[in-house]
Amino acid sequence: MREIAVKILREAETGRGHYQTYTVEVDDHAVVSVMTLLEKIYTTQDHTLAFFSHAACRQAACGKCMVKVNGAVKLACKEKVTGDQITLEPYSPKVVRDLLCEN
Amino acid sequence: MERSIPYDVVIVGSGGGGLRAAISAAESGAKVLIVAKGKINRSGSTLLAGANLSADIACDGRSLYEMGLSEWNKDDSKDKFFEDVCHEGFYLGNQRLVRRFVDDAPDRIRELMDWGMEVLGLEGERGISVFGSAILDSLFRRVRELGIPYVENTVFTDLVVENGAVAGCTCVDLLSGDIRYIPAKAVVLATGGSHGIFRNNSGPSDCCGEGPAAALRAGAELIDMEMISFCPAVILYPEMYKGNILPYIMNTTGYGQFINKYGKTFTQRYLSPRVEALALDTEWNKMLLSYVMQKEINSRRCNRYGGVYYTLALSPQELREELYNDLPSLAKGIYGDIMEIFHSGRCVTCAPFAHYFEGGVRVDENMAASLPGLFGAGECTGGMFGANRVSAATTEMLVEGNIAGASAAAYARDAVPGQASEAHLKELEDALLLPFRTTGGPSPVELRQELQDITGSCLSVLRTQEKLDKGLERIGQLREALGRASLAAQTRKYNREWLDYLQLRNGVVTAGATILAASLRKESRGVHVREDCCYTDNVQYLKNLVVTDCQGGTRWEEPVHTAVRPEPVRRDYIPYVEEVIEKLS
Ligand SMILES: Cc1cc2nc3c(=O)[nH]c(=O)nc-3n(C[C@H](O)[C@H](O)[C@H](O)COP(=O)(O)OP(=O)(O)OC[C@H]3O[C@@H](n4cnc5c(N)ncnc54)[C@H](O)[C@@H]3O)c2cc1C
Ligand code: FES
Repeated sequence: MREIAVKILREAETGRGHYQTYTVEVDDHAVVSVMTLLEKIYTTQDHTLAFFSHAACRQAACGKCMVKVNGAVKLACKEKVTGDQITLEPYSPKVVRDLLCEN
Repeated sequence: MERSIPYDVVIVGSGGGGLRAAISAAESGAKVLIVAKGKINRSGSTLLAGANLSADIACDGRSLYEMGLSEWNKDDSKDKFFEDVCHEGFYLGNQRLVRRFVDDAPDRIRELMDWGMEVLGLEGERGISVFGSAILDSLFRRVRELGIPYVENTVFTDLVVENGAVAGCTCVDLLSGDIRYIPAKAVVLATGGSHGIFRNNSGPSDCCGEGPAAALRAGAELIDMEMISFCPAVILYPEMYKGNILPYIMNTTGYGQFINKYGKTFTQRYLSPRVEALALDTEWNKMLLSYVMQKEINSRRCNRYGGVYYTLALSPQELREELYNDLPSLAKGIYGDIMEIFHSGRCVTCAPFAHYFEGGVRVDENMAASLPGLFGAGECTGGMFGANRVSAATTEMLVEGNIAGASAAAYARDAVPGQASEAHLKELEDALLLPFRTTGGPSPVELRQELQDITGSCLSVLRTQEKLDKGLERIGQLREALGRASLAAQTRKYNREWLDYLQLRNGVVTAGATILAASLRKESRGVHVREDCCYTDNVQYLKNLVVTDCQGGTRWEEPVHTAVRPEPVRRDYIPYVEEVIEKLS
């Protein structure tokens, strides 16, 4: 098993943003995306996490799942996670909640 | 609850069906609003049609010839096309609807081209090939021209009914969490398929079967709910690409093969060479190949991820070049990423995933539901294709959208505006906010897992009475548990767990109606395969099953046959499929 530390900027919308780190375990050979990790965290660790999920194509077609990955804006469903550490932040200053932005 | 300004017609959903309905309602002079869960021009299955590589829009070959699109099939006719669609639906399709489908298809294609849709080429003898996104772009261009207003990130939850007729609908604005009542004389449901009730589905996350459930709760009826098409070869593993139908597309083009964990091919185990050729080389591959894949997966030859492998021969280099020549899009974007798996010497695991929902809201040929003021368009409706969809669902959504919008506008012209009473709205609001008032109950996240466990266990490609009965029992327990659900976060602003609750509240109704219908149809027909009743029975089951309420009420109904009628026979399932295929032109 491979452990990935996922550091997420939360509650920036309140002006009291803070980082929270989750540890996600995946298979050694697993090919996972940022969205896979977010879904795993939401389903098994923290039901309060907010990220784009209500009309997600999951196939890099709708362009709505943008998130800042290690400082660069990416599509969560298309971005492959290779290292064992990753930082996720909202991609725009207009944060609705956690990683979800208005646009 | 907030009240918005009133409209003549509210359209729910912004896939191809919803956008097309909005256009014809507005062109008919109605004051229209589109309620969209996602991005107005980038949501629904329409976006993913043909994996956004090559979606087909169907119409008869003669019309394609007359439009200057194809020389191939000019001896074809609308009548031949009509007959084929009737046969292919195993005689459960509403033939008045099929007639409209065949008659209107060329106009729907022509106008999309007028609105700027690029045609990539031909697909088979009765279709053109386009990008799913191109369909949405051309429709949305027209929506903008007409100045039709819309709201995004808004989840429709319920139809509002006063004095036995539709008086609008309620929605949740996901970003603010506000609940809103939108007064309207007519509502067109175009919410797409019920993918979300399955863990393994090929659709986008917005399609959860909310339209049919809300319709049933409000007093409309559902039809053919047991009929669900599976896409036979969808990626199950690696997880990142789960739900992608690329292997199916490549296989249909002719590339690659399916092997079990021992590295052996297996289609020949279950199908005669003749039927196997049909399964692999024709449009029938969805149904037949799903059957074969599921049989193999249910055996001890299933691989460690719960599916079978799809492998691609990339050497010698010539084969690789052939592949990229035929499917140039594989070189870039997400498909380029998936291809890396094959280039690194590995492969993907596939299984049949829930893909298209033949059943849905019962409508007549004007797209009107039995509830006055309610109309439907596209995949959320039922009746057109009967027991198997072989022709294009894209054509279905366009044809139905066009009719539904015009019908709704005509209805609204004469209807008196209904306004919901405060008491009724309060009741609806209370139901939506229920999990905020409860503490210590089960989370909608776990309940959604349970729903998907249930559908996975009893509504897969191969069904049995025992599993369906057990499934129904578990749905009952799930409904009860849902009444005790509570949430981890109390905010209403983009609360995903609350959204899961809202979707689940409808999902259990849709799933319940589907399991019930599948348990009552004790035969195998089209895409509904019962391992314990392996025959198609035209003596007893040449009927549509109508679900009449949320309490398990049902009725068998004679299908609408205007021209094509089958022999009153009872035959083994696969031989009967062969027999039906023989009748096609
Ligand atoms: C991967 C894939 C490939 C396909 N390929 C083909 C193909 O090649 N050819 C073909 O003919 N068909 C294909 N189909 C089927 C076809 O794409 C669909 O049947 C068709 O696009 C449905 O159109 P629709 O407008 O009815 O629904 P959709 O396009 O699914 O749109 C539904 C809309 O309703 C919205 N919605 C849902 N619930 C709510 C709610 N509660 N509140 C507000 N809005 C809501 C959604 O956001 C979306 O905008 C494919 C389907 C899939 C999944
Ligand atoms: S979910 Fe659509 S682009 Fe990522």
